[in-house]
Amino acid sequence: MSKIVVSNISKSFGKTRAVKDISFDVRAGEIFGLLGPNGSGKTTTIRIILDIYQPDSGKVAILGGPMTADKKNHIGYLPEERGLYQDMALERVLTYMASLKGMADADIKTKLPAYLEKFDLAAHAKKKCKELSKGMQQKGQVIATLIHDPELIIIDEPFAALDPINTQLVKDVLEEERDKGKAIVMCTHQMSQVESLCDRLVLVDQGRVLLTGSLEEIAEHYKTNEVLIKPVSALPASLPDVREISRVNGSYKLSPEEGVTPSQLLETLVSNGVAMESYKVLVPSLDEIFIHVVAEGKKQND
Amino acid sequence: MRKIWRVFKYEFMSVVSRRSFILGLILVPLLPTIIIGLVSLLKPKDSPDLVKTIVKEVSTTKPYGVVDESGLINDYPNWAMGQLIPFEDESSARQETQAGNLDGFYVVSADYLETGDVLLVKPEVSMVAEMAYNATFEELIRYNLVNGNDELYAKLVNHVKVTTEYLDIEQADTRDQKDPSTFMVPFFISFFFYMLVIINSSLMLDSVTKEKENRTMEILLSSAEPVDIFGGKILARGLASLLQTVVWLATILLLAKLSNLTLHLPFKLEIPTAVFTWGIPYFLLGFLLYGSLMAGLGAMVPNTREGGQFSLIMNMPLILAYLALSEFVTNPNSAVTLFLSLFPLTSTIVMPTRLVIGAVPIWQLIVALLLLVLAVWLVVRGAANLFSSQNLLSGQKFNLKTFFSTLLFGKKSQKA
Repeated sequence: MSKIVVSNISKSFGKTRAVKDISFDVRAGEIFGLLGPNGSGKTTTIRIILDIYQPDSGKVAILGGPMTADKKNHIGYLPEERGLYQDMALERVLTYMASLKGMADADIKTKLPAYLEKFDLAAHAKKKCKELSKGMQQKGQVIATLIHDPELIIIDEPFAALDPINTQLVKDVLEEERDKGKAIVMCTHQMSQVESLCDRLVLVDQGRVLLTGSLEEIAEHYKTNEVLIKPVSALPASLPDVREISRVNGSYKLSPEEGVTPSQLLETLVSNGVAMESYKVLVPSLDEIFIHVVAEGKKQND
Repeated sequence: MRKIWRVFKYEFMSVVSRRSFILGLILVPLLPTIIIGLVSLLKPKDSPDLVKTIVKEVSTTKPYGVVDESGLINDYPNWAMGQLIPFEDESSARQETQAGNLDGFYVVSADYLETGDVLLVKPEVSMVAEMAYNATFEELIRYNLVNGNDELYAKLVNHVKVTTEYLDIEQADTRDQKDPSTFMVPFFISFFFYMLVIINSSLMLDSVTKEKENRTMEILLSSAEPVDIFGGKILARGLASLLQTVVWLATILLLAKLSNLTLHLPFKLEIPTAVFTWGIPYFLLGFLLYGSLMAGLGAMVPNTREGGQFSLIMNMPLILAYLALSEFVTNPNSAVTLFLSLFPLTSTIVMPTRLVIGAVPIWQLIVALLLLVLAVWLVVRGAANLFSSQNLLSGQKFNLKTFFSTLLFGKKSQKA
């Protein structure tokens, strides 16, 4: 079941078109990556989804329909532009944030200590936020996003300011939430985190969708069938089915002719007596796809 | 349930649990009360009052000499003897002064009746004694101007007894013009209300701009409607400032009564209880008016610094009213005063001040209050429009035209 359905939304601010005809959906039990370079329209899209901004055209269905006051209580949001009341104790700030999400005081009193314990912040609960490190404040904000057990979680750069241990902690928490059937929208520039966490993604730039689909579908779409081999002896100057051979750190990258698959290429190498220490099909990283797609999109725009 | 009460609860507790608020609420009224209370407790029952003490001090000083070159002063009445001593010539008076037997001497010029010139010669500055002796000397001159006729002199000093009958008692300025408290108390009350409204509405501005700066605003907006955030804030801060005003006003009334009982001031401090009963609704509505303006301003400015700069423009009517203070204190029934009393942006400080000055016609009190309520309703609606997500999350530069068009006509900004 889709928790968010974005249908052809557009939004302009003065003469600037921030979002142009964007559509996608986010399902229960998945982590959905909303990716794009800075200023691509991600934040505006999120604000439209959350009913903070009204779209000029198109519509958004969230948790089964238009946004209502009650639905806000079922959404956890960690914006990119975020902060805490610096002169207030962490516990008090989180209590306020939770109460704004409709939690009863008694419920907050039961859940908050458990969350503080889980994020290793129990000893700092009474400290003013300005006395906490950036990482601690970031974990506090993650608690504020999750404490009311939202059905839908929207998090923008959740790993910013976190060390590797806390990054892993937040990743584990997000996976737990997904396993509970929550829908999670994640914005980040850390492609390695997208690769390890996201089930599907949409890539936007200059306010429009450039790419959408599951990680597998995207990898399949952008695969080049190139292989990296380490031969035991020198390679012949030319090989059938191979368009180009290039040296890469003591190995060889082979670019096959159009329509030749990696398995067909392996058969060709073996039948031509090429002995190999290793054979690896090259899959483009999300980083490479991101750069490639954004560059292509810019060319088309120009 | 609407989130307004949750915002209200948090904001109210944030304000009243702040150390500066608690200290201000308790210490500001407590310290002067303790001081006056201690003076009252420690003072012996038969101790002289302030005026008597000054008179006594003056009477222990040395007399002044009088050299009359005009031939006017022929009689020295009993009340002047001992304080003023006649001398034949200036040199003998100077000699006595230098010898330390006199505190100084007056020389009445030969052409006094034409010029009124009198020279006072004294060895050192002694303001209090000089004031007292000048008064006695002036009376001596008056006494001799009527040739020492006690009956005429009595009529002269008692002036003319005028009894005033006012056709419209409500318009009457029945104040004693010689009483220092006649002007001092209105100035104080005016300043009190001016500061209360300015400070509390500025704190409202500060609260909104800080939430923009510390980047909690977007989190709040994802949880509650802008109007709930605005409503919760203005009500919480209104209640907190009302609490402060009630405590401080009650203390002022109490201190005025205590001062009259214990300090024996040369005047009586009178603060009508109407200042309390009418002043509180005027203050509360004034805060809602200016607090809403400040909240709207806070929503539109990108940071606290810019908010501070533009708050001066918003506060301008209050500042102008305060600058016009002498007009409505001295002429409480003038047309300018009436306008300032009824105009909603100034009535919040002018009307409570007029209540100290004297009787204000009840129709003016009611009309001003109704106009204030109407203005609050309009401004709160306008400020709620300004308090939109787009304004709160944008970093756009403040635009006065957009501000007032949205405030007055409800056109929402479309810039990001």
